Amino acid sequence: MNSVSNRYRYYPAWAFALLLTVATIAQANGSRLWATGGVTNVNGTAGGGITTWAVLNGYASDSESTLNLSTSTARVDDFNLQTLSVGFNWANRLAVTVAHNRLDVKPLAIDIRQQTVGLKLRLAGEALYDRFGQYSVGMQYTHNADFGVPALLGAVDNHGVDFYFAASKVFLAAIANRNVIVNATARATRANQLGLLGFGSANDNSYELVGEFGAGLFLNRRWLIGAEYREKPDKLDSVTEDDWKTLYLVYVPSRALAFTLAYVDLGRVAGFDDQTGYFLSLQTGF
Amino acid sequence: MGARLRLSAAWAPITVVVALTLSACQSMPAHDRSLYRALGEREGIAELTETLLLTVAGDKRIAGDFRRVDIDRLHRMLTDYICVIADGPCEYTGDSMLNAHRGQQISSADFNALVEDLVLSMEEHGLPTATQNRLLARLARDRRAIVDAPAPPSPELRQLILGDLPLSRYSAPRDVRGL
Repeated sequence: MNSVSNRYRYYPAWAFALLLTVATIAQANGSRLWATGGVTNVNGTAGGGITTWAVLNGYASDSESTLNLSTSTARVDDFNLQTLSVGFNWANRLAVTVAHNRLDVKPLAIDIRQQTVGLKLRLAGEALYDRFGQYSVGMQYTHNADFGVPALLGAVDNHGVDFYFAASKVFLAAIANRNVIVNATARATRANQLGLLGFGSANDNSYELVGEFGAGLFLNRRWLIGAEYREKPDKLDSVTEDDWKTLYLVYVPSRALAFTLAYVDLGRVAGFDDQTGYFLSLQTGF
Repeated sequence: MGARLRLSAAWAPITVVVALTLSACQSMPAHDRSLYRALGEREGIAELTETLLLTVAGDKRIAGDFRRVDIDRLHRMLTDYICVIADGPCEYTGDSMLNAHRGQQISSADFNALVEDLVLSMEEHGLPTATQNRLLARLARDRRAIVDAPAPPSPELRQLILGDLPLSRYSAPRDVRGL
């Protein structure tokens, strides 16, 4: 548990400015079609804002490798969630991601921080060109560094591993001759609020299978609008964890840069009701 | 408490996928010339193909693959091919996509680079997003025949299967429209 005035606290505006600077000089690599790599989600892997997609971060194809940097901020009534992440995509086969989350609990003036290392393996298919889309499996190891409040709320572990299976498909010229992306992910998890409230609880410590779903419409090759839904396991007895929902708008001016703006509805979080607000992210790639 | 299954919202994306798959399977009218007209008919397609070949020539990722190609013939063949793909009144006399790319070791990255050059060319010609997507959707079917196309069968094997038929006869007619 750390005070908000902690000197290690980074300010999202700095991260945004730094990444924007990097993006202006970045020589984007990779050849996959614009915007089809998704953006970086709160877990640090490719997806929408909150859901995980089967696509791998960046635009690497079979003979390429790419690196991504991303920062995001989600601001709802009583919380801010800052995320910094880096992702490496090897040959559009394996993605390795590292993410740092910091949750500011505004009413309590505390921070909860955690780190997540993720692996995503593309099993088969190509989201754009294969009739039945693309399939990936992944795992995420998360370590919560500020376990005081989660322990008080009844969480059992300060670390945990998620496993997921994800499917993505881009339908070309599907609705009003616009391209459409559809994603579905099944996740086995014990994480309370991504792990920010720890893992498991005394009464419910087993893995739970939850779903993440989303669809997006490419207005053109630079603009994507869509919606997402992420089921949450709700394991703690002391506080309710609601499913998460977003409506998002992504702007991809080039392969080096992607902006995401979303309306988020996190429901009840750690005892605070009706947590709605916005999500803003910036991603750059090389 | 054991593991609970909460995929209750799964019906939503499944419905979307089924609907999109069904709509993609709907057969188009045999002579719907709307895409052909949107591309500017054969003249527009020929101009688009020219822009595409110029763009490719300046794309160092794949320009080398076209170095020893008869560009005039390629321009004519590609124009006819796109015209046929767009249900235009043209005849394509070239090899199937599979035979035209056999053994050339074309990677996904090479294919993606060409798609990107095509999109940029279509933008240069001011084609609307809808027209771009319709053409891409039809050309995308050819990817399986182009990327990592297997090498041509050895002459011995070919003779065993086809007798003395020349290689051009090896092209199955259905391949002309992709897969």
